[in-house]
This record gives sequence, C-alpha cells and structure tokens, in this order.
Amino acid sequence: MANRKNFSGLLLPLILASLIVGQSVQAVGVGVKPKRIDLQVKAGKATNTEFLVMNVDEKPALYQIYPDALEKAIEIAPTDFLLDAQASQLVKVQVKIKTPGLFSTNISIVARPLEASGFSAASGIKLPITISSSGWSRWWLIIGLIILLAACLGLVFGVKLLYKRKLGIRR
Amino acid sequence: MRKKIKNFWAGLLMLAFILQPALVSAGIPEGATYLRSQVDDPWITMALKAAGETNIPLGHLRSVSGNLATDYAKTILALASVGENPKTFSNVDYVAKLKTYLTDNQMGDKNLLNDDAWSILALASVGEVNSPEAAAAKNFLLANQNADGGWSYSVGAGSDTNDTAAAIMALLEAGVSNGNSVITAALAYLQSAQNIDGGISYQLGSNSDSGSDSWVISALIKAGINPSSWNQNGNNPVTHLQSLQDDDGGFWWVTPGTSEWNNKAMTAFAVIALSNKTYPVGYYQSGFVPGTYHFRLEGSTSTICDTQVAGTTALDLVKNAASTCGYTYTITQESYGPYLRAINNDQAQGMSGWLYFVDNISPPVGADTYILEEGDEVLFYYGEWGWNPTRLSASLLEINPGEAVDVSAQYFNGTDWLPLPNAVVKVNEEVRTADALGHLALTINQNGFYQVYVDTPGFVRSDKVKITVGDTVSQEVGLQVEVDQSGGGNIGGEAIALVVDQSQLNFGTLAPGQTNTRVVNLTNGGTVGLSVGAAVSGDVVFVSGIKISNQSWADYTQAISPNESKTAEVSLTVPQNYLASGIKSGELIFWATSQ
Repeated sequence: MANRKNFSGLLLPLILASLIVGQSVQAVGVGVKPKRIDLQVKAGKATNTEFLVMNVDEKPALYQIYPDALEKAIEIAPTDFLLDAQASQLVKVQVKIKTPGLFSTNISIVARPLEASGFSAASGIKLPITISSSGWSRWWLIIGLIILLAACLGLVFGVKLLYKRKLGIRR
Repeated sequence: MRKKIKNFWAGLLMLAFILQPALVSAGIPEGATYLRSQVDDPWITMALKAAGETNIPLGHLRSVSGNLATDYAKTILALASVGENPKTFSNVDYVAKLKTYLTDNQMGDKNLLNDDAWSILALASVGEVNSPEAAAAKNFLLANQNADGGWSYSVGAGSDTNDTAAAIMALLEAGVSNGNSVITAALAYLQSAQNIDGGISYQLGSNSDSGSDSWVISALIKAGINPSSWNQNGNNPVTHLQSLQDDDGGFWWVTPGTSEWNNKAMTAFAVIALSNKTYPVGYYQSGFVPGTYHFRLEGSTSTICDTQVAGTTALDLVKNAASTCGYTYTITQESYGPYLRAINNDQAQGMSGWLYFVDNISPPVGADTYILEEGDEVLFYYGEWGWNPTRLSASLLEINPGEAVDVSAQYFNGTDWLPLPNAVVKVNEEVRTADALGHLALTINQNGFYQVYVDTPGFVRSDKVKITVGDTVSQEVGLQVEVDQSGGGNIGGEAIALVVDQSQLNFGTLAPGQTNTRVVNLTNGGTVGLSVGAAVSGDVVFVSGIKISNQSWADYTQAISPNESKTAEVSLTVPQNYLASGIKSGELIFWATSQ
C-alpha cells in the first residue's frame, strides 16, 4: 500500500500526456460536384444519381463517404477509396424511400491522410441531399383498399336488395 | 532426449517451410469475394486476376478518359494483367494517351514522382519499357531519390514507403539491377519503416497499415526478397497484413479498434500482395512472343514495313519480315560481310543506302553482327549517313471537326529528343510545316482517320500517329461513350472544395494544465462560399481539450469565400484531472457546407 502511495506521488507530477505525432506537414483536401443533390423520387422505387469527389490537393488521400441519416434508404458506392492528387472518383447514390414525403440529410465526404497515427486534421464536406418522394403512403393505400372493399360490398348488397324487391313486386 | 527435442524443432521448421505458401495464400479467395462486391476499378481488376479469378468484369476499362498520367497507367496495367491489348481494347489507344504526358523530360506532373513510377510500370506491361517516355521517367526517378534512400509522392518532399515501393518496382522493371545501390538504399529505407508488429508504416514513426504492407510486400517480391524474412519479434509484413483481414474478406486499413475511421479501401492491394504478385501483375503480349522485335522499314518515299518479327540479328529481321510485308531485298556478300544493297527499288547508290538504328541509336557494328536483345526496336531507313530519327506526338488523338490539336515534331541527336524546327509534317499526304520550335496547331475539318507523321528532308521519317476526327470513332468499332470525370456529363454546376493545409497536428509533450496551439489554414478551392464547422473525435483529451479560435470546437464556425483562405488556431489544453499518459490519437474534421 505504501509502495502504491509512493508510486502515485511520483506518478502525479509525472503525468505527461505525450502527444507525439508524425512530423510531416501534409495538406488534405476534398472537392465535390455538384454542391447539393435534389431528387424527385417515387415512393418504393429506386432512383439513381451520382456525384464527383475530387482530391484537390497535391497528395494522395483516403476518402470515406456515408449518409448522416436515412442509412437504409441511401446506398452509396464506393464508400471508401484512395485518390491520387488531382484525381477524381464518380460516386453512385441509390435512393429508395418507401413512404412519400420530403426528406433532407447530408452525405458526408471526408478526406484523410495516409498516415495512421497521432492527432490528424481531416477535410470534410457535407453535401446536402433532399428527397421529395411522391406516391401513396402505405396507410393511405390500406384505407383506400378498405373503402374500395366497403364500396364493393355495398354495391353487391344494394344490387341484391334491389333484386329481392323486384322479385317481391312480381309476386 | 536432446536429440528428440532437436528433431521436433527441425520437423516443425520443415513443416512451416512446406506450409508457407499455403499460409501466405490464406484469405485470397475471401478477399476476391469482397472485391467482387465493390465498384470495379483497375486495382480490383488486377487483384482479381492475381487471385486467379475468371470472368473478371472489364466494362469499366472501356473508354476511360482521364486527366492524369496515372489514370491511363493504371488502366493499361489492368488490361495487360488480363491479357487485353491496351492499344485496341477501347476505341482509345491508352498507351498513346499515356505517352502524351511526356513533358519536361518526365511523365505527367513535373512536381510529382508517382506518375513517373506508374508510367514506367504501365509501359513495361505492354513491352515499351525502352520507349523514350519510360526512359525519361526512369531518369527523373533516379534524379529525385531522397538522401534516406526513399522517394516521396512529390518532388522534394519526405520519403514514404508506398511511393518508394512503387519506384523500386519501376526501376527494376526499367533495368536497374536489384544489387544497384539505388535499390539497396531504397530497401534499407523500407526496412527502417517496419514497426515492431511486423507491419510497415506509411512514413517513419506512423502506425502500420495494410496499404504500406501491401506495396512493400510486392516490392520485396520483385526484388527477390521473401517478405516473411523481414522478421520483427516473430512478426513480418505478411503476418501483419493477414491480421487485418475481416470476416467478409476485406482488409482493414489499420488494426480494428485503433481508428474509428478505419476502412477497407486497401483490399485490392492486399490481395495482389498476398497472391505473391508484383507490378505489373501481367504483361500484354501482342505477337510479342519471346524472340520477336518491333521492326520498321522506311523507304525513300513511304513506309515499307511496320511489324513484329523474330530473328537473332538485326539483319535477320529484314529477311524474316519480307514475306509478311511483301517486299523484295538484295543482300550481297562483300569482303567485309553481308551488305543490304536494295529493298524494292531503293538501291544503294552514291551517298544513299540502307542504314539502321536500334532504339534510335546507330550501333557501331554491322546489322548482321548486331545480336538483338529483348525489347529492341529496329529501324532501317533508306537515306544518308548522319540522318537522325524523328518522332511526332499529338496533344489529342480524337478531335471534333474544326478542333485544333497541338502536334510536336522532335528528332533524336543520340542522347536527347530535341524540337525539330520547321519540320515537314504530313497529314495523310497533305504537307504542313511546323514552327521554329517544331510545333504545329493542326486543325482538320473533315471526319475521318488521319495518319500524321514527320517527313522532313535529311531526317528519318517518323512513326505514324493516328488522329481520329469526328464521329468516325463510332463508325469504326460500335459505339463509344467517353466518361468525363472532370466535371462534364450530369455532374455539372458549382463545386464545393476545402483544403486543410496540415493533416497532422503535433502538440508536443504536454503536462496536465498545459496548452499548446497550432495554426491551420483553410482554403476554399471551390466556386461557392463555404460555411466551415468542426468535429473532434478520438481520445477524451482531444474531445474535451480542443478549442478552435478560442471557442469550443463544437461552436466553431467560419465563412470562407471562393479562393479565400482563413486561419484557424487549434489549441489543446490537457485537463488538470487527466490521468492517462502516452501517445494519444484523435481526429479533427473541418466540415464544409455550401452557403
């Protein structure tokens, strides 16, 4: 116990957060075209679009792309890739939303250095994406079907009633 | 007993030796499965080939249009790896496209080195490692080796393992021996970047990663070194790379759990390396069977022959190509040996006769005694002694009617290619004249294919460059679409771009309560105004201790106009109650959104 106390006493003044990282100074950059994505889609149907990611710097970098939300509705390919200086990569986006409505989120594009250590600064772009989904929602479809069914039943019932009355008149 | 123990260890060693290839190959089919689920690119094509896969998708290699030498280099390498001809696979001759990047006696961007290494490898993959373009790139690489033995991505910058590995492979391909001090110094640099986990770091001092492991393994294989022999505490680059494979077959960039932005972008390189493959992964041989050579015969008024033919001596090629190219020849036996007296009607007389070059240099021996070496290109011409070979390059090989293409005429003086002043350039048979620097702005108004070449009196006629004008491209071989990734198509409009001038922030060694500040420049390289914010992740010392421009990183915002730069003062204060010590990692992302 005494030893531990002594150790703590020694340790406390010696607590040095040695935040040593790589020595090189390397820029990292990312460019994206277009500056936003606006999509008109039909609910339940897949719609495709694409955007261009550019390495606007003079060094190769690793790029990662992901949606901030709507992960199940937005598919991106490729999501991770390496780009040489001044090189570009066409990224495909497939949107499939089941319900109608207006949806808005960002696609995040991050450029990171190839060095894997220390505290790094990365460059990122939030590409706004809005999705206007039109069509019948599932609930409206169900309600519509119920109304249609009720109307059909009413019609059958009405015809039957009318037929019975006609028979009654003949008798 | 001792003997038994000795036998046990000997047996174990032998078993390990026998099993080594199987161990190395472990995980390759799984890696290939992962790659098939990804968007195709040239590296994936090479990796699938290296993994022994069949039915490899090649559609993405058609009609590639790039703006970098490496765009064409990697396309050529991918096509060569699967046995397709990069000159004819698409409607675009990718090799000719790549060669247009020869500027200032190097390939591609004169500030970059990686495009030189990959250009050499690409040209080697199609049997053109002795071309002037490859030679220029080789000399440029040799002139830009750093004092530590390595190469950087760009001229004058610090070495990194990835580009050093590429340079080693390129120079070996270009004829530098693996015992040469250039190579041994480079290998020593690579070994100095090996970490205790057996893996290789991108630059000295950083963590091991799968990309660096992969490039270095491939370079070692090319240099004839077993990568497993680079042992560190029982680990080596191969075992480290294998340790990064995930259940889905992909290879993580770094050890899972050590980086929250881990990814599997290096999987293709890993599959190539673990398949014991180096670069080029494969070579395209179009009639390039061993023992055959490129042979061109320039007569007094036209090109008589341009083919690939077998032979032992330079004179053999004249004999052996006659039936293929349909010419007659006369060789007489003189006191000094065989003499090529005539081809067709071009007979030696007066000062004119048949002379030859090998790789554009006049050999000091007769054609009958010149023994051909692999890759030799032989040119016979009818003319006078002292005429220099010429060549022609064009800035574009496909143009629209009325569009200008910059044509450049050069001659070889025995050591360098120099501009040919006032060169006579023929467009099919129409004569044009270049300016004093050998340049000609050529405009063609009619659709069609045009053979463009230098045919200047007193110089040897050049090889022909084919320029396609208009939609003849579609008429030639089906349909063509050119994917313009530089901003055309439906990717139009304005661009958002942000550059952060430092990717590593070194706050030094800090005690609790101490603060250090680093300045970062943020540049808007796009066409729209930016609103920049920040996010910090990683170790708690960063999440709780980082401030940007004297405010919490979460509250930081900065507006930046197009082409404007702003500074951000990033300060780190180690909290007083912080108990941990050692090297910590984290990440600061500057997020940009358009205003």
